[in-house]
Amino acid sequence: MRHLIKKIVWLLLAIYCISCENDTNPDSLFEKAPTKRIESKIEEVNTLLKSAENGWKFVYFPNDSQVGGFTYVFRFLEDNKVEIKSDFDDDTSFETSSYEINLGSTIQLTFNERSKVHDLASGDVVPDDSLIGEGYFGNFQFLVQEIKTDTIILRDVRLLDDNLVSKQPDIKLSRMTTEDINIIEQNRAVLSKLNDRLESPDGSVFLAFEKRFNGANELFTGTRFDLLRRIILATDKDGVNETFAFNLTPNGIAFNKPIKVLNTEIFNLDLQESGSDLFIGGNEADNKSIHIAFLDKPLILTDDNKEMISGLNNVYGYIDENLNTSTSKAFQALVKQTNENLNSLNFKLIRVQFHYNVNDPSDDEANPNRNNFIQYLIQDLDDDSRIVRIIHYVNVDSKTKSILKFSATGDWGLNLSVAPLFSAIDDVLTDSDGLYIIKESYTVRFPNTIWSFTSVKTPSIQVVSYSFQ
Amino acid sequence: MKNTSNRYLIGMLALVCLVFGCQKEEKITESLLKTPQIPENELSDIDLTIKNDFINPYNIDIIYSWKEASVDLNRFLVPPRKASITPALKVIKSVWLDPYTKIGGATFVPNISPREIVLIGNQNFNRSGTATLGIAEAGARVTFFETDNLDLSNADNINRFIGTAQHEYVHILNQTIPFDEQRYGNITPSQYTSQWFNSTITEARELGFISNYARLNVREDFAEMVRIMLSNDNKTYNAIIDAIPIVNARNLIRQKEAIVADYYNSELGIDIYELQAEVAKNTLTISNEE
Repeated sequence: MRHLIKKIVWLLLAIYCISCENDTNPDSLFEKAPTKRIESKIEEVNTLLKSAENGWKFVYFPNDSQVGGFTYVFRFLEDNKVEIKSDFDDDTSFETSSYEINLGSTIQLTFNERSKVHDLASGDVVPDDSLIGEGYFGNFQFLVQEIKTDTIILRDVRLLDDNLVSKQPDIKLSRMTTEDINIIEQNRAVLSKLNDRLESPDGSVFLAFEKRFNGANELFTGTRFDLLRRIILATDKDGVNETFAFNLTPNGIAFNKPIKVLNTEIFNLDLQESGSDLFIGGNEADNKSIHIAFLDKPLILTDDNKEMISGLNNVYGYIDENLNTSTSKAFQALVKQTNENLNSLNFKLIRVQFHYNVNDPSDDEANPNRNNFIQYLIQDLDDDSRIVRIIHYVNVDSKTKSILKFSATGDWGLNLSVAPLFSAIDDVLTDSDGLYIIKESYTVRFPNTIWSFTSVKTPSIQVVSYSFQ
Repeated sequence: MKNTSNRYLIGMLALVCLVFGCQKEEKITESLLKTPQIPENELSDIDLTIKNDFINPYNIDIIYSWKEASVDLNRFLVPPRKASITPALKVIKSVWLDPYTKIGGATFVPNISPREIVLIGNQNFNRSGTATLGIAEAGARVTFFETDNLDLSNADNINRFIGTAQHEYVHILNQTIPFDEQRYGNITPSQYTSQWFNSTITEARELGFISNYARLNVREDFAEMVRIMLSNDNKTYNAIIDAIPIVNARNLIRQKEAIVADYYNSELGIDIYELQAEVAKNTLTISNEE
């Protein structure tokens, strides 16, 4: 009997050891299978998105070395519908489209039907020709990184394997408050006012970006806005070109990265409706602020004027097809007026060229002043191959720092009869006060150096040109 | 006797353990993966069109909603607008698939066709500054770019859009039944170049090529010949050839045309001139309707 009991004990022990554990959940860390957990997470995100009565918004900086930020508002609805509006362009109405919460490398939000949000991601929607193929570098697929009641942190899927990711801040999808309801319209209104101030004929193309602190200051030169890209370009005191990416706000603009004035970080600048200041940000009482202000002349006067005319046969050309939008609105108006004049001859202006120290065959003792001239190239509206060159010979004076003065000689060669057609532009170029000459630090479409000519008398008029050297 | 009853007792214990041991077993239930089957009466108009006009007759699926596995994520591409999808489907069916079916027979397209057509909304730019209009991948998938730029009221625009399919479909046909590349390539052997985009269409035609892209290689040359033939009615096509000022260039293109026509006739059983007439008729019908 003792043997029997021993055998039974051993048998029960063996059965206990090898029998199935009554545990239906082998992965005891979680109650549900991975697929179920993913599905419920997707449902959780979806429910959260649809729960916002006023919708959600984000400010998206797709690549802050090239373009600024754009504000989008989303209202997520049933059946994967979503209403979208943005401050990207003038159309501030809601557009209905569709979205999907699915599984990528983690849960991701995809806007799967083309809509306003795809404007930032389409290679053929570009701020300028140099970005054809890349557009605004944006995306419409976002990984869901973090979920809170009023905030969902997103990450651009495309940038995951790109070194840009280190520069890319999280994209914060925030629940809209009642104060945000009109944010898109307010942002566009700010852009409109900013545009008006920058292009006012009474204004100036010269801007100063200035940090003020404790009675001292630090100035950036060559400040200019690119409103299509939403960036400010400027050069610091060490000659380093800076790009400040910004987004529109109801009061002005905001930078995605703070600008430090000593130890104070400034994000927001308020647009000024009038006066010499265009933007002011920071706390003046704290003696730390940023000002962007209009100037009536370049911040730093240089010898660019002398460099421009040094050497023989140097030519600089304004090419209307490529450079029209890079000139000031005031100059564009002069081009338009000139074209209206030329329309009677069935021609249009395609170039304005500046020729210096030219070995002109006609340069003889009888015509001593024909070394320098402004040349207007006009094209037949019906025959692209028919181009006529109108030459206005001028004298050039570079004695005043930064300034070239083209004094009109009245010598239009054989073209004197058509001279009045060009007076809108020619009068500005040959004004006795002259033109500020700046060798710019940016390029337009081609690698040629850009040189600008700005009227001393009316600094809102600026024409830019390619150096052909 | 003692041993027998011991064995009996042990046997009973083992049986009890077996019966009451691992008997808890989950029933097989439906998949955890969400793969919804939408009833036909709940399909959208677009999905119903795809089912009736493409999946059922041709076994071709149309992808219009964004599917990242179907596109090159290094390019800045976007899905098409909803309003662009139906016009694109109409052109693909009427100008590409229906003419091949009518001239080649009901089984022609199902036997030799891509399994998937992907619609992309915008232009697909290359580093060279050119834009790719469409691509065919291993004969299984044809991708159309610029779907959002399709304008049904403009026959040239329709031809530009569907020309992608006509061109890419030739590659699929050639992958199934090769043409005589050596004979074809000997017509203009020294003028093929990877820098094809540096010459204009006019310059290419004066060298004996129907388009500048045809200069890339023999296969593209062949596909471009078909594309241009099927993008114009016969009269317009002949006018294009006759307008080339160099006699030898015209002859070279006509030699290529003869090989193309022979391939279609002998290998595919299709009179390409009948196909050309059918494509032109359907293109005109669509543009006149708009």
